[in-house]
Amino acid sequence: MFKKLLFSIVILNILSLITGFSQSNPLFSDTEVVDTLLNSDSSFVEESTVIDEDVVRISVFGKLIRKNADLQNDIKDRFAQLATDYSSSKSMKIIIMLFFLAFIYGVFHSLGPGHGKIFIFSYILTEKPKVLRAISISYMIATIHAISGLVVALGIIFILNEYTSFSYTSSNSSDIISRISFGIMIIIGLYMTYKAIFKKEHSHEHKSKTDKKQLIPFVLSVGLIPCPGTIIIVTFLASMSLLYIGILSVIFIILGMGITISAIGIISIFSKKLVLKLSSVDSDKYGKIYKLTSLFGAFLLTMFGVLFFIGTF
Amino acid sequence: MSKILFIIFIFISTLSFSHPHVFIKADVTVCYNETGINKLRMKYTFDKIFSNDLMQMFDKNKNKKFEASEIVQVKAKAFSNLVNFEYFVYVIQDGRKIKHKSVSGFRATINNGVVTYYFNINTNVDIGNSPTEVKIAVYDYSYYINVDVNKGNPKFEDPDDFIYVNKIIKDYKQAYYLKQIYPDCIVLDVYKL
Repeated sequence: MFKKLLFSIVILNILSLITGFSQSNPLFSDTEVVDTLLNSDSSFVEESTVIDEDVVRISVFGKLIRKNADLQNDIKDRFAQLATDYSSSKSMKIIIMLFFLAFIYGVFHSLGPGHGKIFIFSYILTEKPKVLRAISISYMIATIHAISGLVVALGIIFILNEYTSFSYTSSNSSDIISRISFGIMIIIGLYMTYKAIFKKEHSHEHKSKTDKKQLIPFVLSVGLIPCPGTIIIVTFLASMSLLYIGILSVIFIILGMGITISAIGIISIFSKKLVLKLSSVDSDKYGKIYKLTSLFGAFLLTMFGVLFFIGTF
Repeated sequence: MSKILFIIFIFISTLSFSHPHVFIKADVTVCYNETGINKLRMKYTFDKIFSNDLMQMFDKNKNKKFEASEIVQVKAKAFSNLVNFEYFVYVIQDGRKIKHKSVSGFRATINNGVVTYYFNINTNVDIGNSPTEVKIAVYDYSYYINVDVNKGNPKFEDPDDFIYVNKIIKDYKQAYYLKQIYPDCIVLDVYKL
């Protein structure tokens, strides 16, 4: 009963996480928004709003998130400056620095939203991959994710901007492809849920093997979400007539992203092992926890898919 | 065990979902009239890469300037929606939130490849002879956009009838994004002479 309750709380937390995060740029709208939401009474005081006094004051994550954001901004600004410098000097040294920054950007950018980290985590909860496999899956996700971003960027550059009157950029054009990707993710998540519920549970010694056929759509569903960082870098460089440098930069972004996603995967493997080890004295308990973690991973994937999908509208 | 899983999940998911995508450096000028603060002049300077996107979208003649007709488009399609986000500006007087009266004077410029928005938030913060605390926090609660208030802010316009001290803090009372991010907040302790 307690576990079911806790599980429900976890899901509610996930829902609140996702509804809070799957948003689009607050600046953009298709048509002008009239300021009807502004107050029109004489006092302009919202009496009911009293600022919460009981907020926890220590925010380690907040500092990490903000540091990461500042670092990414710094990298992007340097990148933009270097690209501008290269346009005038054509120096090989600047190209090397651009590629190095692309690699660093890949590492830190993939700490941001998406990039398959939560999915590799869900997958590891559901399956039992070894470290090397987790790394190879991570790099597969990073590669497909970045190439998907590259394809979108090239689509923006060569198709949308050539054949439509509106100017598409990295900021306003990846919604449709994201919707398709999240739809695929829902289907894979439902399949994994089905597998977690109806698959026969084996004994402690008898470890389940990863189904390679299942792995391909999993990696595709995650990786097909176009990497916003790649789109930004490639479209930016293309706008400065440096498309070929943008395309080569994608290789270095992949190398950087793979490191971050692999790190999350490895942490997840050891976390899961720790949890299961703690319960291994009791085989019944092991079975239940294994089932719970599998179901939890599958449910996560489905819910993320559904909510990301909704979030794109 | 579920608790451990829960903690691990929250840890990883928090790391996994850190925004932002766009960066703004904000400047604020606090304008007084005879009754208190009646206007906030806002200046938002965007990062270079997002600026480049805005230029591609709205600088139709590619002359690296926004003409009047282009500014109309910027306002309609890349600014007006901020009404749903209170223009990222939150005014709080002694713990009570003051809603904006109106927004005016929008313009956008390009300078060395960087786009800047200028606009006024018209408000009505009454300040009497007793000291009052006025907070002006600047942030996007969705954290799609990271907003930092530049050092040296705020500036003041016509403050002669008022005595004030001011500072910028990271205000934990207005924490957002899972209560993890503390926004930059200008704090004024002010009263009328």
